[in-house]
Amino acid sequence: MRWLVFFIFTFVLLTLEVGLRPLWALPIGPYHDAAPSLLLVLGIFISINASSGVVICAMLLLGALVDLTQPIGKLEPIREIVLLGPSALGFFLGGLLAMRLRTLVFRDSVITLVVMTFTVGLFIELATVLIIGARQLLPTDPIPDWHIASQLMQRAMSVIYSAIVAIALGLVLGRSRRAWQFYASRGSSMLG
Amino acid sequence: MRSSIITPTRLLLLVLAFLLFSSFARLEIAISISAPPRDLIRMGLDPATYPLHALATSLRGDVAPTIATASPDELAEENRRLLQYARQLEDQLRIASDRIGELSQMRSSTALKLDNIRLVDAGVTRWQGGAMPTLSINRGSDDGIALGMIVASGANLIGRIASVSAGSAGVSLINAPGTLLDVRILPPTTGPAPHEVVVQCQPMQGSETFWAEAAQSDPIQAGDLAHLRLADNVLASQMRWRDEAAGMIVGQVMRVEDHPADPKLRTRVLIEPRRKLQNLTRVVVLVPR
Repeated sequence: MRWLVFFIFTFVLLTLEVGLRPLWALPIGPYHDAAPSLLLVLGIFISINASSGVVICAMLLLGALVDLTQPIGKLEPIREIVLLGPSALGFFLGGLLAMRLRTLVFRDSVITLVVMTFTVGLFIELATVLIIGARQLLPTDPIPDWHIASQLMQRAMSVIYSAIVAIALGLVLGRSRRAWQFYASRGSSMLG
Repeated sequence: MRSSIITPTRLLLLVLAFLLFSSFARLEIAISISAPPRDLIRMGLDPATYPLHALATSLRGDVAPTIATASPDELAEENRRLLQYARQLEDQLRIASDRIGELSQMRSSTALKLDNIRLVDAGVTRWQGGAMPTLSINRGSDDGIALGMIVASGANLIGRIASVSAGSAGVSLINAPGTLLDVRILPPTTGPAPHEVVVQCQPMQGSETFWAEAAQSDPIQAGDLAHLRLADNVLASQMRWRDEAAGMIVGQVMRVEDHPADPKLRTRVLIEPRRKLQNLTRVVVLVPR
């Protein structure tokens, strides 16, 4: 895989995700603030197509970016809690799952991307919530106003939202497939 | 054949271990771990996300505020916390503004020579009155503070360092018994003073007020300022003030009265420090570069 293409797409999608969040975040209801994750769709796209070592590196990077750009709570009215780890680990586990599932699907199809975004996305969010939930059980300082049930609801809605956005994004990513050169990198996996 | 210590698998395990540690560390540690990369990402993203954010916000002007879903009790609690936090910020802002004002007053003062002086801000941790009034401050030799250095509050002379340890120091105040200060008494004007009177003042027992003797003909008035003057003929027992203390304000003339022993020829001048020494919370130490 061409890492330059990866970084360019990551930058563009992260900019859109963060910059346009006020536009497409759900404003009210129990799913308040749920927004699509473009990085999740990108991660799934890479997980479907790239070699195992590349998938692991890319998913760890994308998960870390999600961790760093999405605070999970507030310590004081203006001090945000940013944990580097839960989403990165969630994305890592999601990448492993996606590599298991990709042998069963047509890699070039947009529908595959949508279905995988939904399935693996739910798994990633579940893993992330479980990691933070486990942290809450420890006798260290818990994150204020963080509840597993509401987090699961909100994150599940985000995954559904991401799967819908994956239809459009899948078309763009599909068109750019040649630029990624996924198949050229096969056999040069970092982790064998 | 020797294999490399750092294999991709070991590297991955290290990364995973780090992420697990970061996920489960105490909040303060976890936040401090994530802060540098987060700041870096923000620095790279902000120029691109700000215009998009502004566009998105303008397109979705009807976005309901987040507090709309909270219950009244939660709202009241949130409001109370926000007000309390705002008060804390206002206090900090006021203190910071005062400090900035004092420091800029010192820097802009033509009477003070602070070109090669570093101003070290310090908090007062303890005031001790009695026979030998002293202040304790929370800065010490680790911050470059040494014996004899001048301690001030704005352009006002407070004292000098009398004892120092790594993280704290003791300040001998200007009203310590036995102190003799040569001062120039000038009208409080920013331009050239029309006249000046040189006198020697000393603290009154058990008070922060100084007194000095002057001639009846000396043009001293209430409100005039007493600036420290470095005298060459300092008594042997008196440690000479450092050069950077020259021109600092010892106090303000509160009253000029006839001298009880010689009312026709002499006056008694009462000078009071402009800052209550026992109420100080922060001071500045003048550290030569």
